[in-house]
Amino acid sequence: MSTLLPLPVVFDKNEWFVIIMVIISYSILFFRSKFIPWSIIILLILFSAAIARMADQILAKPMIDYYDIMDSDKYELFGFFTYFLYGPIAYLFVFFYEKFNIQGLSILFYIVGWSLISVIFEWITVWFGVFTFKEWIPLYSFPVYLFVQSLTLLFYLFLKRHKAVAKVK
Amino acid sequence: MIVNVEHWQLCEKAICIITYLINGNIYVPFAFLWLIDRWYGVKGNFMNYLFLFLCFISLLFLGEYVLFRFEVFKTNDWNSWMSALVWLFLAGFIFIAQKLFRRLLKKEGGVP
Repeated sequence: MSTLLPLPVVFDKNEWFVIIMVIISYSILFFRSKFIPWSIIILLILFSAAIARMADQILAKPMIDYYDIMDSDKYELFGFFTYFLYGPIAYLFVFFYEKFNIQGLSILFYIVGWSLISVIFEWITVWFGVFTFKEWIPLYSFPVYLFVQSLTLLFYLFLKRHKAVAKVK
Repeated sequence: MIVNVEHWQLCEKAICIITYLINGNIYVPFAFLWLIDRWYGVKGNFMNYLFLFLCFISLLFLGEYVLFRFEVFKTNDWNSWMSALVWLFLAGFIFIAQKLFRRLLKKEGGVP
């Protein structure tokens, strides 16, 4: 009988990559600037993990099965940990948006730039064996990132406005 | 990828998978949101809270029954008590997380 979250088949570079990246990325959050509050960061982490999980459910399900995560086609323990990687990246995405006060048409270039960075990062994860592409290539991910990062920014702006309204009340 | 444990066996038709995803990503989260929203609106004694909680559990069982009835999934060595235990654990976890988040919001000055 299979377990709820199976352990890695072989504990090798992909597991180490996930562990090291989670430590590095969450260290960034502890040395963060104060102008994005924890409440918004927590919601950004949950939002990006939920979007990633939904995308994986749609694209890596039995019938479509474009790619595998970690060692097998099962939902593994370290596959679960990979969802923690998206949050700090979403934080950096909104941090630099605030830091450089990006407005107007620059937002479009900003999202395109971050989508390119995400595709490169995804290519690195493939190299480390976190993702095993079957009928998927990194180029397909580009429009997905364009959509998801636009959604992340809209979600952040919604939270920021909601928080400002709540403080005024 | 979607269902790991052998207690639940998901039908491999596209419509079954879509229905299962809608249940997991929309129906169940909205049921929890409804419970939390109503929980703070309930005025009165323990019986009102109990009634609300029973309505919530019934909603979740209704969803599960519909999926089971239309053969979206089959179960092996699984019964309704096990489902109830999972729902209770999840509800407890969500309530604690919600309380902690509310406390954080108060600290940041976001909730009056």
